[in-house]
Amino acid sequence: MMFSIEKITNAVARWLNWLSAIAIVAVMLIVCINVLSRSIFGIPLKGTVDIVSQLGVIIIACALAYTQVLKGHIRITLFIDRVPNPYRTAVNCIVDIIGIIMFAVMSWQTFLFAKNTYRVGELSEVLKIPLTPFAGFVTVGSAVLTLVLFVDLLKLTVKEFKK
Amino acid sequence: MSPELAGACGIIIMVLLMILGMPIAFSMILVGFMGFSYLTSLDGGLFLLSDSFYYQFSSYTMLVIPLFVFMGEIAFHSGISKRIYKTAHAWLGFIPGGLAVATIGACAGFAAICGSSTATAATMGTVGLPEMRKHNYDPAFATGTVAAGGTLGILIPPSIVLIIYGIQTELSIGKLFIAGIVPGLLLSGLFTAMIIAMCLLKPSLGSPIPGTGFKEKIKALSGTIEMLLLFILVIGGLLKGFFTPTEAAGIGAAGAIVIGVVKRSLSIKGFKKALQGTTRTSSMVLIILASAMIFSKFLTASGLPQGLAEWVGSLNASPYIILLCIMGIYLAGGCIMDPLSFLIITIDIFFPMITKAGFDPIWFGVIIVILLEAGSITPPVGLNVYVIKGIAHDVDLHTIFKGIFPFLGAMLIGLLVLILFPDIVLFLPGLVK
Repeated sequence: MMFSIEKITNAVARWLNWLSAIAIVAVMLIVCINVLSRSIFGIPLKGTVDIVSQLGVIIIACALAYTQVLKGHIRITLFIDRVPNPYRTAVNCIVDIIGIIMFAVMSWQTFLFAKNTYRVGELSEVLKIPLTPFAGFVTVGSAVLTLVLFVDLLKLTVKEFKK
Repeated sequence: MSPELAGACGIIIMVLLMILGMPIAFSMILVGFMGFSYLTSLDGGLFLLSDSFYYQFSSYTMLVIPLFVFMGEIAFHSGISKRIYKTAHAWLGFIPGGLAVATIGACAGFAAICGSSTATAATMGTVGLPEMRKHNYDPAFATGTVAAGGTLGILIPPSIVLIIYGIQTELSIGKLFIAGIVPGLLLSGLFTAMIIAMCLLKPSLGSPIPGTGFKEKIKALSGTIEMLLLFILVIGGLLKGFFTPTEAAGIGAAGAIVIGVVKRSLSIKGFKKALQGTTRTSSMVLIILASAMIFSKFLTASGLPQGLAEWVGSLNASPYIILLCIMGIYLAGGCIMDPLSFLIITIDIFFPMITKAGFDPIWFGVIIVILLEAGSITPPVGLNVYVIKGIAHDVDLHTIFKGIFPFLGAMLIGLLVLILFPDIVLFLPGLVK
């Protein structure tokens, strides 16, 4: 049961991460095409800033969760690693729980934010792309990050029980 | 509780959370959100959360980070580092401590296409270290060289740290980049001088290798010439105002891919790995930046940074005393936590003090980079040292730290020179409009 939750969460996180990778390549290509077209033909690509800025949201928001799977979010382990064990696990659990609550709130708030962009009908400046789907990616990214943190917490407690 | 006191309490709680092992970004979000809600309203705090995340992630300027990271990752995975090292090897190997000198030279070269200090240390570590070990170089000396050389990655443009400093203080990234060039070369020169001096005093540290002929030297250049061209295109285009920083980074990444494909040195696997490395580093840096935005809104609302700057100003202390104190704080901060995160957290507090004391903000950016570099190779938390340890498993941490001390000395000399002669930093940016 535990195993399958972890497997599914990690798969979703990895899948999102590839989306982020595709967005990076897309941004690079669009930026280059814009520079080439501007310097060779004197015609800049209309709305480059619009598109790549929104792709930027995908790059970062979609990579948040998988970076946590890889334990890539920087933390100071210098002190906590020296704390003897039952206490260390306890602290780690508390820190994890705080993280879960925080990103749950974050998902909820970014959802409201996305909903609001839909209600107002917020569009990008030049190309008039609706911003809602992109704001939605921040919600998805935060929600999956919350899940990954939850799996981390499960793993910590399971490990402690097995001892 | 007065707003200033709330700000101070917030900083203490944040540091406490970090010490307890909460990721740096998460600590800043939590404290920033709670503090801002306390000073304004809960609705204000909640809105700040979503607003900061979305707008930070969708900022056009911020895209320069993933793109420059991507350029460095591509360079790393397409074996460019090996070719740069080969060139440096052929040209500098005959000097006393030749392989170490070549490593520094190669680090400086790689730094010109990579903006990260750990990536430079890792890249040159995997290429330079085995070679030095093969020629019986002293382990402390060899590992120290690579760890120190890696720090050039964030001084010689492109530089992730200078980009972030520029974004946070609203300075021109192009000017900051060009300001890093001469100090970067100066530091490379000081490192080289230190190596030669050490090897002349104690030849057993590392011996020179037989010199190569002129023909071979020219041949060795072929491996690096295209990267040099890419560097000139990217940085030159940026300075001429031909590209925005984001465009320069995009062209750089695309150029690195083209070179890798033409030279047949970039595999599909390498490309995928480069992408993964990029998403990971970018999300790690950007979430810290977004969190810092939340935290800094709270700090600004508390009035603490402005208050501190005014208080320091009212002390009537010599600007150099203030500079020295701030430098000490950065050096100490870099010792216990990731230098980049430390910069992001603290810049809002110290930047007003420095400008109020009359120092040039561009010059200060370069000074900060060198301080953070020094922090990244000093115990107990020296990121570069951990990276090197990961490559040289048989050398213990203590030995690596021992090997680093001469280079720390060289950095301090470099800092002193730049403080005494700020024009070394400001001359080139002054030429750019």
